[in-house]
Amino acid sequence: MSLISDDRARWLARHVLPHEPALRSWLAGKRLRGIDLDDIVQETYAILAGLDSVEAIRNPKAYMFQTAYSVILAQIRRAQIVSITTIDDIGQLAASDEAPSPETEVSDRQELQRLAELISGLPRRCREVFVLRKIHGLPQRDVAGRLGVSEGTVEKQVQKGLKVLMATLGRGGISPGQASKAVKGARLGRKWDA
Amino acid sequence: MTQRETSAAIDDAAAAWLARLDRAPLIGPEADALEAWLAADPRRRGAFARARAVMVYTDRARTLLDRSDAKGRDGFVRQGAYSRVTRRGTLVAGGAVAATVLVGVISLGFGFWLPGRAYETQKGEVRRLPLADGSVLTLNTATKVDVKFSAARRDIQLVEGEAVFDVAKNAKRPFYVDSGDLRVRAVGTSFTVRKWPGKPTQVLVSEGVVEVSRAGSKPIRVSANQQAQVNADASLSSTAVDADALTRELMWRQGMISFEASTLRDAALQFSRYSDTRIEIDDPVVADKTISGLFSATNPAGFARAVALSLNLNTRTEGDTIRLSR
Repeated sequence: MSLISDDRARWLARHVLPHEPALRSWLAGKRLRGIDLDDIVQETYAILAGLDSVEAIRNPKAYMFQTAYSVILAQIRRAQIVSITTIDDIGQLAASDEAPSPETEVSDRQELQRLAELISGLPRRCREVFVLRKIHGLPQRDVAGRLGVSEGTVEKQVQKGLKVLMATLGRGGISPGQASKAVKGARLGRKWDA
Repeated sequence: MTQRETSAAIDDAAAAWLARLDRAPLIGPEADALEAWLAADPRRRGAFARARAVMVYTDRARTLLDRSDAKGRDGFVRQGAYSRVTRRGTLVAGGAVAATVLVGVISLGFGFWLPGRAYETQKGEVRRLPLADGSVLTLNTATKVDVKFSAARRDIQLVEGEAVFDVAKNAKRPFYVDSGDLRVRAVGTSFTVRKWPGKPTQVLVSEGVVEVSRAGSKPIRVSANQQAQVNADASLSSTAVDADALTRELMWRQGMISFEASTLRDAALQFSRYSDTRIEIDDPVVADKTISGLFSATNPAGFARAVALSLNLNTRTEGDTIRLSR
């Protein structure tokens, strides 16, 4: 079953997503050649979403880092040529003393502030739809009725807002004014090869 | 070799699927199409899972309108059952726990106290404090605790504020929390102690059983889904409590304040504990209006905006003060 249960989505939202910026900066610092950071993150989520149970995971952040590490190893094994540098980099990653601990939990408060900022930084129409849909919890159909637009328009705006949040939430702090820029910029500089 | 689909393209497609799913459930060919799309590449499954997590994540910013204002002046109709289900989901996701016990006490002091290691939080700060024995303290805004562990026992004094104690089981090393004249003894359990200025100390038990005692009273055992209090004759007793209401009491651990039909007057007081920005309401009619919802504890301005939007009020900011008016 490839669809994700509500419980797993909640677990990911609570225990994994807040640590994504840390994972990205940790991995980006390793400057691994020829490995795409966004690929690693997507495959990491795929594995975490596909686990039978997450009950036994006591430190989701560390588990997420370990999973990303295993994804990188698999990619290196898949690659035709593996440079010595890459192997050294991976060795450093495995031996890293930056390994996360439960003590370094992301402050939920900061996360929420950032979320509020991101939503308020959305383009006007998109923000209206998002506030009614997500803050007030109106179904899309009712959002459409209230704003006097088609359901298709509402769906498009939800998609647009979600894209902004997906592009920025996992990538560290973004101020409201930068949110729209972030959508365009988020895809730049993602490759790790110099 | 065919062009590899970029991760950006996958993210965009995942967002489109999520927006579609958010509109209405998929049936028939559309559901099959999603299954097929997901099956083709693990990165797609990852992007889809991540998109779902982002959607759930945004639910945390949810604000609910009060039922009594369901058809308020702005014509907004609350989606009662739907909202509650989703909000409940958020609560579960937050790991919030069910039962809480309230104990009111008169401050007399619990005798001699040697200083241990002190920890404190600033206004608006929420801090998770793992201890050497495996227990975890979560300190709410403006809270001060002293931690003193020995081989035989674990002692903590809550000097002021509020903290959740998730106690690691160790029958040979009992865990004591003292606050005011109140003492709570736990072996392995989760409970909250709250000591706010001008208010009786409260103990909120989430799991397991604790023993609550104070000088001059017979100790009582308090288990989940019970509420204990200090009676007029200074004895301690316990009664059943509403688990939902008490779950809301602990939302601060997620950086949130939860209101259920609270007056704006009470809400403004709550926010003043977390921020130096004050919400002032001069008009008693406005102050008596009630709101429900989940708000970021350290964002009184955002709360004021949400309230103004929901109840058709005006906000005016003067330095550190936000005024709400009709």
